[in-house]
Amino acid sequence: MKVLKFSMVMISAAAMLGWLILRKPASASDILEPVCYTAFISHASDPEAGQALALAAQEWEGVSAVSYNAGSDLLVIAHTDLWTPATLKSRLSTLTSTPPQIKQFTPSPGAQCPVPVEIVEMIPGFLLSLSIFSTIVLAGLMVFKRKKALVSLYQ
Amino acid sequence: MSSYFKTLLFAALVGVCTIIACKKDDDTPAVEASLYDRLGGITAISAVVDQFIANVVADNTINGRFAATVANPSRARLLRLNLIDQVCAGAGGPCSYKGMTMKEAHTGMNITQAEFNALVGDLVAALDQFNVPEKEKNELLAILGPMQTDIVGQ
Repeated sequence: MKVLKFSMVMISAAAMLGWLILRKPASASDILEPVCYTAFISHASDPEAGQALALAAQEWEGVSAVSYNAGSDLLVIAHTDLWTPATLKSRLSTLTSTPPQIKQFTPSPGAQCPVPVEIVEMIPGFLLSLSIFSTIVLAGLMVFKRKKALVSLYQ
Repeated sequence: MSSYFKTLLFAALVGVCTIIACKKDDDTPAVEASLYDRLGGITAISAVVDQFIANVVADNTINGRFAATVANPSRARLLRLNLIDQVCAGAGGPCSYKGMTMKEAHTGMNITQAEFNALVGDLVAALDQFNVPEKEKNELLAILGPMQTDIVGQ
């Protein structure tokens, strides 16, 4: 029992310390809705048509920014989870005779972090949960021991 | 002295004090709001950053550098938040940037001066699209300008 209690104290303290080091300090940007970027090859007949497409997309709910570059013929839309690349494509297709095509970027060949960003972002939350869980277990063990002592006292 | 006169005297005293207090306020030179406030706070900064990233992704000169990031929504989200926090903190706002230093983030990338200039051009285009006044635009560029040495040629 003593070993278990000691382990719980150590796990709780280590997890809390890890969380304190890794957690992101509170920031004004915490309130912002997440945004994704989808790029399309617009196939616009001329720069004006591409610009008109961008202006139309700018008005849609859940779209925070649109950029059309006549040189690259790319139309980039910053959007919330209200949209997926497929729904954006189908909506854009209704506005133009030639449907835009989703631009697939080829990832750069350089070295990349082997751990996905999603996992890295989850670590602070996991450490905090672990610390709280081990503290609760420790408290439970102490209450259990006290109850056991009281029962043996009355017997 | 009747209570009527006492009340009148008290009201006059309060009136004189209010006038003196207002006069003092008028004399105090107005403190200029922070760049963060003048830009319009976090919502305005995030709108400019969204436009900036969209401009960069549409720009064939430099979008190859951001391909891997944009292809992964989680990485794109992280880049956006880091940029917002960096601009917000630099402008004196209540944000904390916890990303890598510019030198750490760009080491080994061999970014050229032309690529950096294209990036600045995309930022200026985003600021212009939101009609950010010249003064605020220059202040923001002056904050970001010194980062050039940590980004180019690393």
